[in-house]
Amino acid sequence: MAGAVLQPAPTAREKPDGGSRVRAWAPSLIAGVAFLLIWEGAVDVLELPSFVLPSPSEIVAASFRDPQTLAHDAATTLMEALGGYLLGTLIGLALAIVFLSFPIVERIVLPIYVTVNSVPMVAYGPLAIIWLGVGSSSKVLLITIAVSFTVLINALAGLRSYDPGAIQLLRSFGASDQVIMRKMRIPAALPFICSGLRVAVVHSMILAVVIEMLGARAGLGWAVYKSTQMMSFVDAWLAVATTVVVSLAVYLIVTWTTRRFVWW
Amino acid sequence: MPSTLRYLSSHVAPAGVIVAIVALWELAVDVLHVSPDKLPPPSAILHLIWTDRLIFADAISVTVFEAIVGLAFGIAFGVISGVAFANFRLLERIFLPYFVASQAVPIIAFGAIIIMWFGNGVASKAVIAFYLSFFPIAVNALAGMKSVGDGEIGLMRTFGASRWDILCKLQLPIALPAIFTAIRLGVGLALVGAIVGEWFGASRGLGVILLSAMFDYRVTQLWAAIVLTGLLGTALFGLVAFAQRRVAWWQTGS
Repeated sequence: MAGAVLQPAPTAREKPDGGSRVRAWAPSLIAGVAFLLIWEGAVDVLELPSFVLPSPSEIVAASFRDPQTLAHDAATTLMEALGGYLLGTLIGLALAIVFLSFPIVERIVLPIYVTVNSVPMVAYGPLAIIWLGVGSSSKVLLITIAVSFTVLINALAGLRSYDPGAIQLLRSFGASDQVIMRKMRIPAALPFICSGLRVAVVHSMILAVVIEMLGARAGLGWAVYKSTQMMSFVDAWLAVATTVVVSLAVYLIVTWTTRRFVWW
Repeated sequence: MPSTLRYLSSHVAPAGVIVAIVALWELAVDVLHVSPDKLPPPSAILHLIWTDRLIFADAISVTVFEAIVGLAFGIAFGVISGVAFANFRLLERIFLPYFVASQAVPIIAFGAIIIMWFGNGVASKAVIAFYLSFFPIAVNALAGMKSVGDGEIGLMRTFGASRWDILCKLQLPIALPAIFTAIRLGVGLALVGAIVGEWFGASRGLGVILLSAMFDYRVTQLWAAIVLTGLLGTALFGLVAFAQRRVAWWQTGS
């Protein structure tokens, strides 16, 4: 599945100073505020009932009704997503290193991994629920598998992206394999790994929410499912909006962290 | 012949591993007396796929149709916005951040709402498939268009080419391989969109089978649907890769 390898996003943007950063974001910020205002106004003017489309102010107001449950749902989903994300990242990186050191392991394990991942992970959702129940473990397991695959494929692509000439140069200066790995191949792989990490964090949130919709005790996906079943659509929108905010926040944090990491 | 050897080790060996795993699975279920409610043997799964082939064929046709309708809109919208962004810098600055942000939004959370808006039929699933697939296509179309050099555009302009000519004869052909690469990614995403969309309300499709099999604990049927989903995804991916080689034949590579 060559399609799974993502090209590193252009991270090499020169750091803008405060003023130009504001200017760079201004058009899209204005568009965003305009969008919310139009939404609010349209709901008002067209007198849309809240089951068709509640206004942003209604959704915000609903968040004050039961903030504890909302916070608990958000925390559950976030924990599942982050737990699977961390586990998956560790497993993906570990596998990449093992594969590189012992090609025979790669020849045996990689085909299995590719086969398992040729099925969209959501299709395993019902099976995970049957096997592991509606608790958090079914979500964490699927997220771990999905994330480890993304990270593994990106790490392998990255570790193999080095310039052979540079390695020979280092070797001619008497660098050992370990030094080459540390100084050359890992730095070369980092942009790939980081773009994998950025994609994977979004996937983790999506998977957590989707699998929660199949069955869960708590979580944002479960909240969406429950409130649509009970026809309380403002609550469904609130859960959706919270999901959006949490996902965006996590994505921005990971993007920001990986930018720090790979400044080149 | 070293190339034959390389082919053997890169294609036959992985297939061998998979065959071995499936054989081991079959044997383990048999020897350890695993209950088919927990893990059915591969032979039972294949048998079920064969006996229920009409049901599965119907489900696949529905799901594929939803995915392809969504993907078609995703391709159209992705390419158009890529072209627009490449030509109008202000549009890119306003909307590209939202395109990126849209990918951090789990559209699936909107599933129930989308069904309410677009009904129980093909449209609601196609909308989800569209949403999941347009982004990589837009980004790659934009990157492909931008990879055209100023010198090449200038040259065409000196020969009196209009903006439209430059777009159709220079920028789009150069962007085509990148667009196809994104479509390969998008076809799998569209399939996911169609399947998950079916969870929220549908009467036919692979997603329906997955969900009803879970509720009724029909594990063998669940496995059959999983296997078919994987095969379907691989087949669609292969189809796009084949089309890529035919249409964008000048670009060799994966």
